[in-house]
Order: sequence, then C-alpha cells, then structure tokens
Amino acid sequence: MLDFNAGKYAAFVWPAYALSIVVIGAMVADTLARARRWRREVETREAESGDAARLLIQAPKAEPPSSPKVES
Amino acid sequence: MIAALTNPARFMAFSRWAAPSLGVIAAILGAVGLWLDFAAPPDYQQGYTVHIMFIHVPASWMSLFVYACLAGASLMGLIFRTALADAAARAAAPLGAGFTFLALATGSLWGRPMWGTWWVWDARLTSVLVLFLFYLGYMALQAAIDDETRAARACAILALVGAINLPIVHFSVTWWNTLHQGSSVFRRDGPTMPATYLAPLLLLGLCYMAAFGSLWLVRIRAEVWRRRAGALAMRAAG
Repeated sequence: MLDFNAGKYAAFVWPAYALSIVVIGAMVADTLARARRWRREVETREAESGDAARLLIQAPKAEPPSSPKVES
Repeated sequence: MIAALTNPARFMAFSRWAAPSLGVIAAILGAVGLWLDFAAPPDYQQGYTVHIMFIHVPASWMSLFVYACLAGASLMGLIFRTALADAAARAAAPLGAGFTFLALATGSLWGRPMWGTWWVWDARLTSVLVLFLFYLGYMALQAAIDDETRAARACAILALVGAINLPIVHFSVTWWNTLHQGSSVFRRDGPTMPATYLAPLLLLGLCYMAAFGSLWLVRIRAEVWRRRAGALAMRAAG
C-alpha cells in the first residue's frame, strides 16, 4: 500500500521531489529542444544546398556568343 | 563496439534506437522504483526523510558516473582526436551539472532535519561542491573559446584535472572524519540496509542511469547535427 504521508518532514521531502522533477524535466526539455533545433537546421540547410545543386544542374546552358559579322 | 561508436554515421544509426529504448527503460524503472519508494515504511531513525535518500543517493552516484564518462570521452578526444569523443564530453557536462546540483540540494534538504544544518564544510560535501564547480568551469571554458578544436582540447585537459577529484569524493568518508555517513550499499561485506530500502534505491539508481544514457545519446546526436549544420553553412558561404 502506498503511503504519501511525510509527517513533520513534509516541508523537506516534497521540495526535494519537486526540485528533482523540475531539474530532470528541464534536462529532458533542453535536450529534446536542442536536438530538434539542430536536426531542423541540418534539414533546412541540406534542402537549400540541394535546391542550389538542382538549380545548377537545371540552369539553361548559356548561348555561345555569336560570331561578329564581317562586313564584306 | 568502440570502433562502431567512434564513427558518426554508425553512432547515429545506433543511437536512433538506443536513445528512445533507454528512455522507456528509465520510465519503467522510475515508475516501479517510486512505487516501492512510497510503499517503504518510515525508517526508525530518519523517519519519512528516508524518501529523500531514494532520490539523493542516485543523484550522487550519477554526479560521479557522469564525470567519469566526461573524463573518459575527453581522454579519447585527446588521444584519438575524434570529433565524436569531443561531442560526447561536451554533451555530458550539463547533465552532470544537473545531477550534481540535485545531489547537493536534496542532500541539504535531508541534512536540515537530520543534522540540524543545511550545509557543513565536511570533506564529502565540499568535494562534491568542487565537482559541481568543475562542471560549471568546463561549460564556461567551452563557451569562452570560439575555436572549437582549441576549446575541446582545453576543456579535455580541465576535465582530466578534475578527474583527480573523483576518488577524493568517493573515499572522503573513509579518509577523513566526516559528518556525512559512509557507504551503505557498495561495501565489501554487502549492503547494510534492508531490502525494503535497497530495492527502490537500486531501481531509482538504474532509472537515473538509463535516463542519463538516453539524454546523453540525444545530446551527442544534437552535437553531430550542430557540427553538420556548421559545415553546411561554411560550404554554402564559400
């Protein structure tokens, strides 16, 4: 049977648990936010570099300069 | 195994399933450990403050274990010059600082009703405070140097210097006469506490360990992505 009674020490027991939840929660949140941020950054940059590469491949070839007409 | 984990591509493949798996294991161990924690009767001496022990002691174990991981990764980074080792060391520091802060804070919350004081400058508490300062110093040094290679090398040297403090923390209760009690779990003659307290303590210790493993892997993944993003930005610029 669970006993959540901390008696006269409740003022010390519950802040210890609350602090642990806050600190571990902050570590989890910061870790996930950091991972999400940099993964998106890589995806964005890879998409941009992919677009740039595609643009280079698909770019129309420049017309060769026409040879100047020679007046006869 | 080590060769697989020093290759970023293999590491990313491994950590992709290992990180969430360890997270699930941590959640299960935490749920069972907390159940046994609040099912345990109050201690005949400590009363209900024994509940603080179930979260204080695992945090203290982790403060040492994470620093050992940080120092090991730093040593590998210095010897083999692998970017993944530097990333592992860098990723461990904030987690270690968090666990060490918890060890100090929950210990203080236990000490006030049991010892009659929030803090005492005895060898164990002071050496753990020094450990916390090493974590903070590591992160501050990392942030202070722009060149990542130089920062990694300087931080690795600092981490190895700080590793001298690990045996001091561990043996402080036997080398000196401290207010902090000695080890009651990892002893040659076996644990001195009954199973009703040992079971939740070990389960929550394993929970913290699995949680650290999961978070560490995710943070190393984030470091790999951060470096990849930097490399892509450099390529796009030049």
